[in-house]
Amino acid sequence: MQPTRRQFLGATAATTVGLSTLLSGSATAQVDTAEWEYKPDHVTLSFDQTELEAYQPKFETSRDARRKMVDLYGFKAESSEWDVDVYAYWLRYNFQNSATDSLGTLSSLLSFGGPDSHFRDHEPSYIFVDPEGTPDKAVVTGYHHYALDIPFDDALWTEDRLAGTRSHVHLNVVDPWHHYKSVPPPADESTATLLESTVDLENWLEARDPWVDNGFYANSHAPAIENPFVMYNDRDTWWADGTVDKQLAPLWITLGLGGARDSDDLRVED
Amino acid sequence: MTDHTHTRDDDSEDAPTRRRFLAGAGTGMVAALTPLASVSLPFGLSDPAAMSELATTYDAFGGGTATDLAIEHGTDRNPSWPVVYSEGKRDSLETWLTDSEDRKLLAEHQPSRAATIIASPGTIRSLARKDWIEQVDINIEVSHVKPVANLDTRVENSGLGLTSFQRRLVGTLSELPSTTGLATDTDAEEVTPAQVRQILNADTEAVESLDTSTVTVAVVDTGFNAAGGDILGDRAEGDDYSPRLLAESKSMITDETVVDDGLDAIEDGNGHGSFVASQILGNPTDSDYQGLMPAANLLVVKALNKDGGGTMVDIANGIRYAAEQDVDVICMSLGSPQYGTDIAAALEYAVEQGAIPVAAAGNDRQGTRWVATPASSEQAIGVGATTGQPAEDALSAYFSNIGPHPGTTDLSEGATNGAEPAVAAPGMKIRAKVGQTNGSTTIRTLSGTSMAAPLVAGVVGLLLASDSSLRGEYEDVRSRLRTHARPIPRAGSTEVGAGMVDADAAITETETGDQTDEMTDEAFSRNEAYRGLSRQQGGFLVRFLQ
Repeated sequence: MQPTRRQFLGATAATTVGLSTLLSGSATAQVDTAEWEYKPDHVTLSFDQTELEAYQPKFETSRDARRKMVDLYGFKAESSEWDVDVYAYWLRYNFQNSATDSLGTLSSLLSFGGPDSHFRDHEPSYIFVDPEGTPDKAVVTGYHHYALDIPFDDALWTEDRLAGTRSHVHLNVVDPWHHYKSVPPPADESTATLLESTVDLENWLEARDPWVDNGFYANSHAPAIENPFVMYNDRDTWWADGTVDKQLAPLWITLGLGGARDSDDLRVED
Repeated sequence: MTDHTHTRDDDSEDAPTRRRFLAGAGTGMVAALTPLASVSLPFGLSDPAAMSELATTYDAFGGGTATDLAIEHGTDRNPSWPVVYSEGKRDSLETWLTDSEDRKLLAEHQPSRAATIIASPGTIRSLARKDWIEQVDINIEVSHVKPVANLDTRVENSGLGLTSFQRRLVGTLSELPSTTGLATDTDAEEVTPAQVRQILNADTEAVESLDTSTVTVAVVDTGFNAAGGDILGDRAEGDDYSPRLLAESKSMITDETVVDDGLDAIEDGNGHGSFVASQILGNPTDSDYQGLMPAANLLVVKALNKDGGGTMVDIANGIRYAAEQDVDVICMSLGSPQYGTDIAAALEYAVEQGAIPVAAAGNDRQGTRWVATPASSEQAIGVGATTGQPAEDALSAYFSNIGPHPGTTDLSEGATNGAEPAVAAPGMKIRAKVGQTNGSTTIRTLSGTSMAAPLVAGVVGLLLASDSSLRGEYEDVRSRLRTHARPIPRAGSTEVGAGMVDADAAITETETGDQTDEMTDEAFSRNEAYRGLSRQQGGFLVRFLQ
């Protein structure tokens, strides 16, 4: 199912403005926590725990990954210019391997003296939902903050919180990098549980300022965070343009580094 | 009259510039004489401005002042770092802490936005670069101002703390401070608390008629042995201790309190804190050993262990804790030759809360020389030690640290520049009745600025008891104490500040004279030499930069 855009051109224009703003400034520009300068006026953000739990992905994780999880943070984005809503989730860890770790001593050379910005990171999964409350698709990090599209498909989604709706995409967390692969739910779907026993679902809108203070936006494409609609089709990565992470990730993919061999077909590879 | 003339370094933007200067030419004589001093310049430039100069000297792989003194934790041997975060940024710190499992929160005091974090030096540098982090220091060992066990019979300039080459250079630039006129063992007679009361003019009708039961003094030290009721008196039948000992008394080392854990929480295996508390608050049956405020209340804050050592963080948090218990006076007979921003911040908080901090100047005039932290703070009344004689006859103790602090030798980035003892009190061969851990009491005789500071704390308490409008008014109290201190002609103002505290004069606002006008030629000469030495050590240039 393809969503219809109310104002396709308008939305594109908004995205373009976001891109040009970023390109004209530094990719690591300081963000004033008091401002939401990358959220367009047509976008409204909110947090309703029950509603967000209804579309929360089901994660298949190792014990090690669960140990490193801090919390799952979510918010809902609505727009007068889009026929879909977005349920956005960021899973935060307190430790993550760098994409270049597998290179050993070569890693510092290839990553310009330090771990890439993915080091100790936050992993996004956006669930796009149509006006009837049915998932349209998921866009998640499929490798190193590069987008992976997961269409709404009975074989990949499970039912739990919404009766009669398979609202939970099933994701496998790839150790130790923590990006996602799309995997079918287990045969006994009741064994696929939400993370609530491991981590809490927190309000990202409240966490946003402390995250900004800790460099969350430093190498990210800020509109892809504050205006998650830009990840519907238009971008293939959450990285900001011009960052080393964005420029080198295709190389990592080609070389198969940092779990790139353990990933699905990314949007960037299409 | 010379006073603290230094100003606090509030402008963090200035810090790199000053640090650069201090790391290089600013250390004055040290830089001029020690080629290595200038080597630190490029490294200093790379440190975040929020990091204290002391914190930048920590090097896990080599030497450095902080490396030698740092409190290290766990198998990783990572230091702990007191930090101050900006208003409204508690959540940002929480996020930073949980961003990685290699960071741990050791202690926190949210009202003053102070947290102590265990982390590697590299990790803490990344934190110090955040624009919402105002200050990062390193937690080091601090000790009580160790009493001078055996007083020297003579003192020579050989112990100036300088190399012979440095001394020759100083000698060519200014007069070497003479040791003539300083009190040594043979100049000091033992004095009892009763004699001390006479010396401090605290045995007059105006003073003895005061009701001190409304005054509370915190003693931040090695603890306190109540010895039943023999020290504080007033113990009711069946009680373990006097009601004057506040149940909120606490060990910052174990987090235990008297109310929850009994007197063991504050047991004093060293005896230093028990001595200090007895000087201020003692009320035994023998009136010779009665302290200056025999009816006031005592909050024991145990921040030092039985060896007399403690951490900067425990002391800083002890100061904060005392302030939160609404004490009127905080007595600190402890110190470090290294400046600590966490202690400075804690003192600032305490003064804001209405406490009057009093601190010993230090017992290392022939070594580190200058008034120690926290006596060097603008937010503490620094106390020098004299013989147990009336002001007109008293001599400055040879060990008592002096001013004006150049601000270049304690890694304070100039914050302590100009600091001097504010006043003086007897601190040689002082007797006191002290409780022991076995419940008995003993009479001890000790020497040191540790013994002088509690006497000034006691006089401050008397002043507050006489005029309730002075409570919480740090500057007014300090000024009153200094204005009505009695000049000590045979001592320099760099040694004794405004002179010997005088309880009656401070309370009745009696004229006492000016220390700087009364100095003998010998004292004046010594005074000028100390000022010259301070200038040579960069004091003048720091003042110029400020």
